[in-house]
Amino acid sequence: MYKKTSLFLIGFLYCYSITLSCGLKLAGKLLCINDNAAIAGAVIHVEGTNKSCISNMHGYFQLDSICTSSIQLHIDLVGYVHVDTSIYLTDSNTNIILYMESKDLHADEIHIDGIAVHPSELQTLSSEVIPMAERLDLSGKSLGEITKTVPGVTTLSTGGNVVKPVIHGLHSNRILILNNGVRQEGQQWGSEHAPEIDPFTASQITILKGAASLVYGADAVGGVILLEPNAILPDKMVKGDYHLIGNSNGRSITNALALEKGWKKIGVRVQTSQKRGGNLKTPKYYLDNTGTCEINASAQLTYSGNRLQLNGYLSTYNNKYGIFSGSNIGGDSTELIAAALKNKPGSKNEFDYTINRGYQTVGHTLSMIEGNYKLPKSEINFKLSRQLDERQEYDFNIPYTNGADLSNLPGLSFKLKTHQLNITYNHPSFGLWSGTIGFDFFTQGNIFKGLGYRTLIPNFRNYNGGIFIIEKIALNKTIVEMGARIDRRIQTIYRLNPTTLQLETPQQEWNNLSGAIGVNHTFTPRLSGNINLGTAWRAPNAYELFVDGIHGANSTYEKGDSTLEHEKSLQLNAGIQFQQHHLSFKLGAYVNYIDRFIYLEPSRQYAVTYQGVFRVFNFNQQATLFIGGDMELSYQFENGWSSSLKGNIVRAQNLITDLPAWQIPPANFRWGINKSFTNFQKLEGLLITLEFDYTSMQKRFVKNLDYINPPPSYSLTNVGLSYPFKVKKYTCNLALTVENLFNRSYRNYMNFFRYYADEIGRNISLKLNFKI
Amino acid sequence: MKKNTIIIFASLGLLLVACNKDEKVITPAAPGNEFITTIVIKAVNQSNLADTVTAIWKDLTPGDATPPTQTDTLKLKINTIYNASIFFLDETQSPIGDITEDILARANYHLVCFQPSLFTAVSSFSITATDLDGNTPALPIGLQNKITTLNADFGNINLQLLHQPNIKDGSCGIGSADVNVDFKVSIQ
Repeated sequence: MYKKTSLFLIGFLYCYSITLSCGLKLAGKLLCINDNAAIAGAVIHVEGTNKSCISNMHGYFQLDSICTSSIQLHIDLVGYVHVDTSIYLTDSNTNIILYMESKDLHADEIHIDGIAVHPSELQTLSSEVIPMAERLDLSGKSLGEITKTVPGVTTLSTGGNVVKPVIHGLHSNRILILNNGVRQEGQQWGSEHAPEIDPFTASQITILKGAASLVYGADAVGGVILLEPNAILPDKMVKGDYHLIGNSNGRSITNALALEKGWKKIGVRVQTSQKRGGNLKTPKYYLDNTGTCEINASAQLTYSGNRLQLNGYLSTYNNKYGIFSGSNIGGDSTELIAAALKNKPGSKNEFDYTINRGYQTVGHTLSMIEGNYKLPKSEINFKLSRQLDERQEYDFNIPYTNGADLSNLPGLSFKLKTHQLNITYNHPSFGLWSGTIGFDFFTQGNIFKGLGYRTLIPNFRNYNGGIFIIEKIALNKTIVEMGARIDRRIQTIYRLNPTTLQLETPQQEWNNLSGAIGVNHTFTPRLSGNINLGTAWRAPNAYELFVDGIHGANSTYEKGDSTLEHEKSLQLNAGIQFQQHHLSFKLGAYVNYIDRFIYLEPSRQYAVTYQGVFRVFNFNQQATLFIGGDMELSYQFENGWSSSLKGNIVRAQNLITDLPAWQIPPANFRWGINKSFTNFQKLEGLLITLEFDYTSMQKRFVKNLDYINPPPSYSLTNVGLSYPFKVKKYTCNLALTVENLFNRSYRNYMNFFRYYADEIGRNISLKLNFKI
Repeated sequence: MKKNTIIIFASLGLLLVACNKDEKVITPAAPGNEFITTIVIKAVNQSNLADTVTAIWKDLTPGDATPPTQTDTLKLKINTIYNASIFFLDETQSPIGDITEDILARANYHLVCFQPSLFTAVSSFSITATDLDGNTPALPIGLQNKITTLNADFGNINLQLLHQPNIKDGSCGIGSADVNVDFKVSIQ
């Protein structure tokens, strides 16, 4: 007791005050938001005064002689995110608890490292951060599976290996993914094409929900996912981070290693991960040919001078995965229904690591260089990047040919090269105003090769340019953000006229003006709210414009429409955040009106081909309204118990036909109970989690439009256990998770394989993390 | 040190801007790849070899939504037994490619199946394969068949060329369909 008191006093010794004429007092405790641990040594400063103090070993601090009841506090500590908060002193002796976020959890740190645009630019939009370094339970999962832990995010999948994130009911080309600040350009138009990203490269993943076209340009209609690595901090030692993950379902092994060394000005990091898995298993049968093999690597080199900071980054992602053989059904909807009703698909029911025909290979490389130059009161950022995305799709059937070489060629092959340049200038503040002016340019060329008679999507080259300005006023408790952007996109198609075989080069052009205005207001230190009205846009992609062929995965014949115009979204996003030390909640709501929303619709016609009779689906566009909300509620009980409830609902209606939109995620709720052991000697740090995951049936669908009705609702139970321990001086973490504990059979409306097979059954994962 | 670093970064940057415009070169369909444009059923009356009937299903733009070029009716006599041969051709090539040979060469994982059509099936009609592959035990291929007709009838028969690598067991419900077409059949 004596010891504690003395440290408390030492803490106070650091606090000093000069003005003695004022009588208000503020005392408090500073805790880490991640683990509730006390934070010592943080500098707490009252804005507009020279009053400061430092928190003691137990996180306590005290500020005396404060003159005004409404103050703005700034809290700083190396390794933590800067806190800027408004406090209202209710009486002469106010006590509060303040939280700081560990530094690797926030984009601000990345900013220090010189990475240009970060989400603080859209502060009035709801955002969520997933601290990957802290979330061992998520390690080794795909980006889609990781992001769905955030309310408002669901997934769209094609089997167990292809999982794409869905934000507020929108996916694929309507979600922008920024890998290291570079917009990811792959073959994201395909519903069965997952993002070509290794989540092990990111130490934090930020999700911006809502229209973010203003800063990120076209396509950010649904939201933005930002993947960022940590800054490389100077250290005498080489730092390492190793993950070993085993999954029972698919019998997969994942292995990931990152090594980094920081000198005073130079930082180097190399990273690699590998994954090998075999056939996945539903509760009743194996899914034939669902093996996967993935090899990724990245390297980063940073330089931090006094004014100039540079960051060079190279990464490569390589994946080969099998396509479930039971999904290769001839072109007949009746067969499809029969398959859906069958308990077992007509494919082999055994475990195998071999990936047979009916597979895809994906290679994605990114090379990027960025710089940040600090001027006395402003700074300039630039970023130059190149991406090469190659996807090869090998059909189930070997082509009929005498040439052995030809039989090894992919049926479809896409090669997309993208070059990007981004320049932003953070101009000097004028009074309360601060802001950024930015310029983006990117160009991409797509090369299609195929063995088929027809071209699935034609070759194209597009040029995209945009200029934006975003201004922010930071008032006492309110931040007001507003901005505007002009974009121009020119796309040239290269194709052969089917009858004359002459080269045709039709060109299309889109010009668009986007804008946004938003407010973020702190009502009380515990309650804040944000509201944002913004526009976003998206030009139709080459697939939507020109596709003309059989889409094997869905057994449909899809036809593009070259007269499609760009879609435009006007959306209102609002959120409320409340945080007390025990209780916290977040509520979000949105209304998203998308004019000329592009979607596939059945034509009630059939395409008679030698491969069967296929239902013809046409691309069409009509005004569609999305309305939805998401919530997260959590409560910290005594003795390390806590509980959380997350949920999201979205409704989408075609305003012209007045019918529900197709393939909209049903409502989902997740209830979690956690118990952390903090006062047990041997079990210190042990965390046990239990989660119930309920997904309702999508009752809003158009009858007789789809082959089968949406699957019924289901609930899953997941349990987890994690335990940190030390081996000598090294930090280790062991986690055991069981997903679908009761091995329930179910189908997911947002999985294209719902026609053919159940979702995967129980999966036990053992994860080991070792840090040096 | 600083100078070297900047040089490293600058050269990295130069690497990024190098680009060429490959998309202007359009790759035509790989030569030598064969498409199935034409399916032929040739039926020979067992009791009168001069009585031969042929029906052709042809789509010269394979895999697109335009209707097939030619869809013949297989005209058979009542109460007759025929030997029927099936041929698969690629008429996008010159000379015309014979895919039947490729199927025969890989007979161990191919099967031609006749099943009742989903659109007014012909019923007074039965067809069984007479040829066998090299599997143990030997399984039917379906390129050679015996057709037995009964009463007068009109309807459709569904023909599928199934690709069944390592899973062929003589049944029709497995594998993937390389060909899936309906033939009109008239029995008079």
